[in-house]
Amino acid sequence: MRRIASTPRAGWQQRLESQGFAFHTIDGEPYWREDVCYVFDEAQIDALEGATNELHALCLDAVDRVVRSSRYAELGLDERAATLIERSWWDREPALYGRMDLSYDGTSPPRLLEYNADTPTALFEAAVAQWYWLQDVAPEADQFNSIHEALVERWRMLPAASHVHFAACYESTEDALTCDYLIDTCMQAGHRTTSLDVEQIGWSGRDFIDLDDAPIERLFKLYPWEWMLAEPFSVHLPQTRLRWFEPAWKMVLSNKAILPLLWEFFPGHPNLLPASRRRADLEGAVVRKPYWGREGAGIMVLEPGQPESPAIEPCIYQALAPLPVFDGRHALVGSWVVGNSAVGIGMREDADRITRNTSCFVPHLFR
Amino acid sequence: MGNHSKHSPSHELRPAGKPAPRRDASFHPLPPRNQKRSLAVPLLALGGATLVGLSMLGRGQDVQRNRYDSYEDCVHDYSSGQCQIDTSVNGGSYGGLHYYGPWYRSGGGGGKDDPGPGRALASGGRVGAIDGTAGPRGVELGTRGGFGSTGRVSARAS
Repeated sequence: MRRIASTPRAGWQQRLESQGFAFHTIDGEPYWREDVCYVFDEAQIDALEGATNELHALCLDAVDRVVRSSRYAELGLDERAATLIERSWWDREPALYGRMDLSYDGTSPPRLLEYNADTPTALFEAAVAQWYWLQDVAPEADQFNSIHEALVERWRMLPAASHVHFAACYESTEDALTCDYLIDTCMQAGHRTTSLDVEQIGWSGRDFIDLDDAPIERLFKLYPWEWMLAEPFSVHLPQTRLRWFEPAWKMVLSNKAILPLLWEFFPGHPNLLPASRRRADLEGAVVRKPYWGREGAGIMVLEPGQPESPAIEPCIYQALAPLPVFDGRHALVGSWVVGNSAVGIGMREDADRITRNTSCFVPHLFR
Repeated sequence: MGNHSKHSPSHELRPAGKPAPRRDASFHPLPPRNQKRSLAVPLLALGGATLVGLSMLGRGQDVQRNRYDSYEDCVHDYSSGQCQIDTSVNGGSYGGLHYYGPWYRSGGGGGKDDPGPGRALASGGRVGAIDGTAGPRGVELGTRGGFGSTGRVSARAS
């Protein structure tokens, strides 16, 4: 696993923009970087793929244990959430995708930092932008990235020519691109799609409806479940048989409080880190994470004995697994799961040891 | 006794000799996959601005539909294809089946594709008015904007 210099393609900005990727530069700072890239060897990619598949299996096992033993309170989930989770789990509602953030240095086993199982983004960058970069820059090399093919295939699980609605907060260019890209993959699977802003979803008194006032039967929402449950339309959620992507059972996994439960269920697993809801249970430096933190928000690294400020929201503690540092940049592996398979990775890096939404995306290859 | 006799049903079902392979059962192995990247990443709509210009669709608006006592009253306001028999979506307080027109934007801001409030209301008639042809006996309200408020003040994705 190396970070090497790479010559940017001539007109790379226009190339990305022609694909619909307009936020390659944010406020004058690069978000997409192709003056460098990460290089892996085949064994390292196999290790990442194997660990992701293993972790996903553990996560499904953990959801089942949570549901069977009703351990929702430890996840900060109330009765309404539990009802939705159980219904979706027992109905075996299929999931579309998710992204695990892994700490991996190329040598030690990959370790799960968190599972963005409900509303992961940076999808287009990983599935499309870096794929075209590889075609242009190093076509003889390979890349762990069959995300696009896997998404199209995953959509084919639906009955032929289904109508799928997509809802996102389209004010966010990142969310808009993620949602529009998923629409593209859904169309390529032969389905009909309709997109709308989350705020434009209507309630007819019996169904959630689109802007044509037609009932929505299948809805991909790039909008967290916990937010939906806090909003006025949540009272209607139990009344509909709408199929959600991601399904409600993903609430169990997209919650950082799953990390202590994973450690309890599978103690000592090489791909997990010690985690607890009590700091005193852990030795050494720890990372405090809010249950529902996003984009690195609210994350705090605590050295041994370092006092911490009071948390304003429920948090868990996880043993610190420092990200590897290359040229002063902390590298994080985002490992994508589509359906139930590991299908690719995207690399993010930051000068800080906490990865945020401003962290750069850097393409990768392996030989 | 435990052995099948020569003429047992199971024996008769067994084909004599090697059957010809079924065409639909021939095995076509997948080509070996030597790479971990997608073979192709075509995009149908992205980059071509063919997806919906969502920012132009405006924020959520309330919707409503008219309730009629008879099919004739409904098609007087709309058309046969726009009227349907249905139960109330608001808890059935009106009792039984009624005829309903299509959903339309409350406040009249629905644009050219909006079916509108129907002929009776559009011409100034009031809900519940009874004349030669009865207008709608009531309206049922739907709503929009019940999701999305948290997203306005927080980061959504992860």
